[in-house]
Amino acid sequence: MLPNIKPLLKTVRSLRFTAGILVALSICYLTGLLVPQRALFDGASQYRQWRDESFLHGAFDRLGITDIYTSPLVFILLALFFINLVVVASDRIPVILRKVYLSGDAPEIDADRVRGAAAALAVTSRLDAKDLYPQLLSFFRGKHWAIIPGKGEGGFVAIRNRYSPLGFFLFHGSFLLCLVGGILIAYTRFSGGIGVAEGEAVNGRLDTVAKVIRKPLLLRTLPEMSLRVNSIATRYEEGVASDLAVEIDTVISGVPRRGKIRINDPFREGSVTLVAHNVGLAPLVEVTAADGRVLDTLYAKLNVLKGRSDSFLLGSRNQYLVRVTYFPDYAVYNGVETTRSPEPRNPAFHLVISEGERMVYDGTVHLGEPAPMDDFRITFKELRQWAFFQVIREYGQVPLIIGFIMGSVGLVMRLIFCQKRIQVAVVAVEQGSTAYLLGQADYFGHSFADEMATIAAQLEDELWGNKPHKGALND
Amino acid sequence: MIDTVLTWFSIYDYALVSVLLVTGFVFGKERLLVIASYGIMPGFVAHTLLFVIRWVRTGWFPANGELENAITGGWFAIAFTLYLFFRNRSLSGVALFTVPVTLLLLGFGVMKAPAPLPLAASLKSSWLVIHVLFAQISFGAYAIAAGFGVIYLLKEKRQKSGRDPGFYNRFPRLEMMDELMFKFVVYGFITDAVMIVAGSIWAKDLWGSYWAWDPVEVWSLLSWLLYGLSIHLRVTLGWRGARQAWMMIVLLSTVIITYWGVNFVIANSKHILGVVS
Repeated sequence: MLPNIKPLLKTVRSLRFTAGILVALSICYLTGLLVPQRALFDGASQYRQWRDESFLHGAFDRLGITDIYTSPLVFILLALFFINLVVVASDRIPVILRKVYLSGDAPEIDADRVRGAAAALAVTSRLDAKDLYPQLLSFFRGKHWAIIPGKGEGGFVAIRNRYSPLGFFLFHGSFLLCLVGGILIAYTRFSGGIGVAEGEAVNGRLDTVAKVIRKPLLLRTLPEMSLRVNSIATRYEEGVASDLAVEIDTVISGVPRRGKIRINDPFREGSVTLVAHNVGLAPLVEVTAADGRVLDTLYAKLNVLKGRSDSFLLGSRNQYLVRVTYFPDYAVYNGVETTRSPEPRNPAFHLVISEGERMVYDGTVHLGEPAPMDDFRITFKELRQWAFFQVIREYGQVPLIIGFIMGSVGLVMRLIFCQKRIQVAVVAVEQGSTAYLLGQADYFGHSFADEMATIAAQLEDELWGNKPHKGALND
Repeated sequence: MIDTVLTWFSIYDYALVSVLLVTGFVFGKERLLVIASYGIMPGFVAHTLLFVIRWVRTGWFPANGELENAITGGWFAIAFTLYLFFRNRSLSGVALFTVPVTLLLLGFGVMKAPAPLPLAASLKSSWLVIHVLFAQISFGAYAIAAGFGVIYLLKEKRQKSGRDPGFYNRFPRLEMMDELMFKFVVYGFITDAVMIVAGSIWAKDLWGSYWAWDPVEVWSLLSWLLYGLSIHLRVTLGWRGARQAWMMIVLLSTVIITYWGVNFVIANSKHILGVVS
């Protein structure tokens, strides 16, 4: 026997349930703001350090509060939110279709009920009821009100923004589209990071050329990509990095293209996007023997801009650690090394070379100036730059963007262009007839009452000839 | 130089107007409020010139740094106040809220960094205008709704006590204020939605993903959801009048936290909100 799900459905469709979910989600999101989230730490080691700092931090970690946005609790709440959305929206379908007069019978205009309503306005005319009716239709049509004829001949409904309630479906449906887009993106997204220097090229499948940040759970076959960086140009204004332009040649899934990537202007080919995030310095390092023979050359990709220090390994067994601090516009003030600007006007490097615990060299060299390293010398011969790209492959953007647009349109339709309805009933009186107008508006009834008074006054003017309407009406 | 003159002229004018407004409201001096309402105009003219000159000189929409954000946000708030004033004098009370807030924001901006700063590469995007503009409009709308909330509660209290509303008669009747509150919330809610969507699309180009659970993103979503809930509570459960007024006042804090609070508490947000990277 099937369980009786009616009480459950009743709960799920209630506004209290919606409110409860929103409040619960809000509490989760708030917790995520108060408790540092793992994803916001710069690397796993920093997170581990924070986690081990105190018992409380460890407890947050064990309870999963440091990953709250992707926790099972939040996913359950989101699932309930969408179930609630679907149930409430489907409940509203017949109500809204009736409200826009796309289903149900023609409206029944009960003259007595309209006349008896406290908010009804009366406009009298010397015309008899039969003649007044078409004049009223003409008046409202002339003011761009749509007309829904009532049952019989006693009245009609003048309506403005008739289809506004359908905005409810657009808005709430947009959540579902965004959900579909979000799920598609979450399951098909590959994300990786790759640093490429000027003049350097890389080839291979996305997950082999880039350091994987996130693997896709679906559509795991990733395209081949060939990427060559032709040039990297940076611009600084008053110490602010104001532009970055990277010229590239790519072949992605067999399609060759030449393009330029800037900050805020990624390169797209099919489902693959290349986003430029950062630049670094890639000096050409030359290692020479005591007799001047060149033993080795390499481009060391260093993250040394904005005053940071970085290091690389040298030697046949990588036994030398070279720590580099870069001064693009070298100067010494009060005995302290510094840079006058971020532009490479007078580049210099402070090098600290060590082999295990043993210090080999500690000093500053300019471009082309050798630094001794035991029996060798190292020279920074030429300055190139390298760019750090995020490589992304994902699907699901189309439903997401359509969802964004649909949601915005739905909101405007439903909340700005609200539906206004005027029930119009014509009643014959002794010396002519009277039109009774009963107005209703979604959300803004009091403001509409003022508008109704204006409409009634205009109608009166037309019927009584103050402002003739298609010929003399009341002669 | 001209920037400095215009900025300080606006600040002094708004300071004077704020004093007149507060004095007028506290002591019920109608005449002071009328003078204050007209007194906004010279400051607003200077403010407008400042906004235009800044835009022309820098070549980008003024949204870089605290001062530019204050200039732009404040301009919309004051423009809206004047629009309401000319449309319906009984709505000019909103100035009590918008003028002092604009004054404080401008003052804060001047103290932080008055000179135009170069625009960081990360901010050079067409989405900047849409994202920031809609953020400011939504904040302005929510702030005005909260302002109406305060006035609603004061007027209602006066009426309930049986005393002559006197001074509060200059404001619309309670049911109209109730609808105005809702109108501004709806307006704020829609522009807030556009702000979030625009930010999300921008984030995809800049950071590589539409949504990264950045604290500012989360908080803006949170405040949007709560305003959405307040709309549902009104439409479905009929939470109007004083209940709605209290909601508007309390919910404004969520927006203030989004714009100014998050970066004080959490250091690693990607949003720089007024600070040049």
